[in-house]
Amino acid sequence: MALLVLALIGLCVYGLYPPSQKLKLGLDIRGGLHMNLEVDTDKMQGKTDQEISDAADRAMEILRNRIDGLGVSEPVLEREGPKGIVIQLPGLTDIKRARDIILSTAQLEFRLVSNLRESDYLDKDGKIMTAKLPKNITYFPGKEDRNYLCEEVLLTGESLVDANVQTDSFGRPIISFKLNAEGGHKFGVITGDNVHRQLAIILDGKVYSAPEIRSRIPGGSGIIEGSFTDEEARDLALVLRAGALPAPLKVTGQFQVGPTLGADSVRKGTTAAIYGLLLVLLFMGVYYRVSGWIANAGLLVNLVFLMGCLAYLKATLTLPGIAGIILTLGLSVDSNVLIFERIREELRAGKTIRASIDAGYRRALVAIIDTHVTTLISAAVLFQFGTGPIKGFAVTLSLGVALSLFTAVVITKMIFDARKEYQGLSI
Amino acid sequence: MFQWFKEPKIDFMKPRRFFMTLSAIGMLAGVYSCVLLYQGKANLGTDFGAGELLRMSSVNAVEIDKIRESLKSEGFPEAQIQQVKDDSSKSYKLIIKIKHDPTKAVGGVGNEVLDVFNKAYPDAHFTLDGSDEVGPAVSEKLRDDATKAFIIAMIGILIYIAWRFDFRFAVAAIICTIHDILVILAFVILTGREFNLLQVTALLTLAGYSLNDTVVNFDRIRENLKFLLKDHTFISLVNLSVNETLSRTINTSLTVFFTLLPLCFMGGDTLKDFAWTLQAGVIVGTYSSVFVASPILVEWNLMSGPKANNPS
Repeated sequence: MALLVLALIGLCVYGLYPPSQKLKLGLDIRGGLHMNLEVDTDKMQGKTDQEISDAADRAMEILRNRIDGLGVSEPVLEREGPKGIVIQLPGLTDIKRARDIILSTAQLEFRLVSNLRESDYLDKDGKIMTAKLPKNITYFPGKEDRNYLCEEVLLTGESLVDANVQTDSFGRPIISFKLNAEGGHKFGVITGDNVHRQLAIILDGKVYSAPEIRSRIPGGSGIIEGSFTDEEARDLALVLRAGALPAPLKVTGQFQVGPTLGADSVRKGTTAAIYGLLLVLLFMGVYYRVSGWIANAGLLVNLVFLMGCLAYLKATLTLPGIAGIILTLGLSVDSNVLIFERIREELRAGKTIRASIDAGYRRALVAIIDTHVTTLISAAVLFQFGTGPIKGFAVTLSLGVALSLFTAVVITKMIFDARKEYQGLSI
Repeated sequence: MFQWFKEPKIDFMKPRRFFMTLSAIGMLAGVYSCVLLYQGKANLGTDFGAGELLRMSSVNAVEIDKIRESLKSEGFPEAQIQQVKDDSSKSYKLIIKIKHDPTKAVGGVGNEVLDVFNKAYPDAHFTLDGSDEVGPAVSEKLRDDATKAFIIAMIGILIYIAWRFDFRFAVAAIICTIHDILVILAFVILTGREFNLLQVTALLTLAGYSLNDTVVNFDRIRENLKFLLKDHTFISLVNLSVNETLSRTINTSLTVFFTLLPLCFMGGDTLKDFAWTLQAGVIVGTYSSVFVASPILVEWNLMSGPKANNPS
């Protein structure tokens, strides 16, 4: 039995080492971004619930592709409710860029620039009067400060199969794209029919470039210019490759933690935990003397087991999770207090030391189990309903409390039993 | 042997009416806190109340009034602002809490405020350490989940108590648990602490934990009822049991009290409030096992007639 315990301790230490790699840290400690997104139903009026839910499903697949391109090590993507999506990107640092990539609808459109004269539709402030435009003409702002009046959509990003960053002859980044067979054929026909006209390339309602068609473009590939920075071009190619969102998304909640904040909180939490541990070790050692130190040994084993379990179960350690560990330290020795007080009583009643120890353990057990069960009920509910950080608390609390049944009762009893004859008991 | 008391013989049941009144006042304060919570007058966290919580730091301090002014001109007239000097990193930590403004998109406020500050106070060098931005849909879901979790956990614990104890003991333990939750809630709300998800977590944990002392106490009363009822009246028997279990009642609470104590003072602002609520729960749970749970048994016994000594 003692060998088994030692083996378990060894296994936990081995599983934990080195802790910085083996313990999975939550977003609140490592830093990162958590977003709650929702399909924007205001812009999907008249759609059935089923269609909205399907749109959310497809949006999630597309977001998965985009996020894979971000290079975050363990991204989490989940559907939530009928129209929600939850994204967690632990360890992410460039939050603004990630937000832009996630929220970009990436609607790519090709439209011919109309031959209408822009000046006919300007009001006195130099703004386009959209109400006066003919029905088939739509106004789009350009990426640079220009206005475009465009005809109807000829082709969309749906036919796009690939997009990559290249550089033009001046070394500036451009995006090259490739269309599928059907799209390529259509593109050939459009360009062939409209030589010398301007073809506007519109992304998310903005004209990126509107080159003049010099000749028919066969083969279904083309380029988008638009004086991008390198990063812009890379991100654009990424969202184009991943595809357009089937519906616009809106953010309903966003939690971001910078790496310094997380590191600061975890440093404070661990310092508090260490002082808490020292205080309780000291208290048990002073009040119950040698027996108290036996309980302390059980407590330390509990701590090692708990950390080992977290590593093996790949459970996420969060900030409230650290509070859970601290609380567990106190609850764990509670069992020993109950046992030791009982042993003292049995001794006062005149029983022998051996008999007192056995009776103490036996008779305290019922109360110990009661206290464990009620705490575990709360922890289970918290695990079921809690958000990420709270789940971390439920995990450490329930594991710690469950393990303490073994460490505070079985292991300490083992230590007491190791000595066959008792002349006196320091309790 | 180190002991707080050598065979204590304190008459805990004599002033029971006084303590019952005190507990009743505590419970009323708890009910009042529930009402405040329901009316939205309590200090709700960003997670429940919808809004933004921004954590920033700056190399140089900027007066809070100036910060408030900047926020006002940016369309955030009612912001709670806290500034603390952090010696370890030689910077100033700024915590800003803003109520949700439906005209602003969720998720963009943190960077917007950061840009404003850095334009207005370029010498202060502000950085955004973290932010919680919660729209109404998410806060509503969090509130719903918290309420559901609370109800389910309470039902679970009450069923366990009902199954574990005989009728009278179960009723007393249930009242005791409800008392604890209400008093702790009053502590959180009436001291103006922020009521958030973590506080609900603390309440749920305490609903399970605060029973510990009561369980130990009741077990002893039942045990004594079997063997000692002939020589004692019910009231002195309850008192004897409370005295007998006094050391463990105190020590089981002390162990948790000691482990939590450092967290109350140096846990960082996320965990500090959480730790204080747990600490309050530990104290209330200890008090109630002696002054709420046991007196209920005594009163019940007295009410069912002086001759009906046997409560089970």
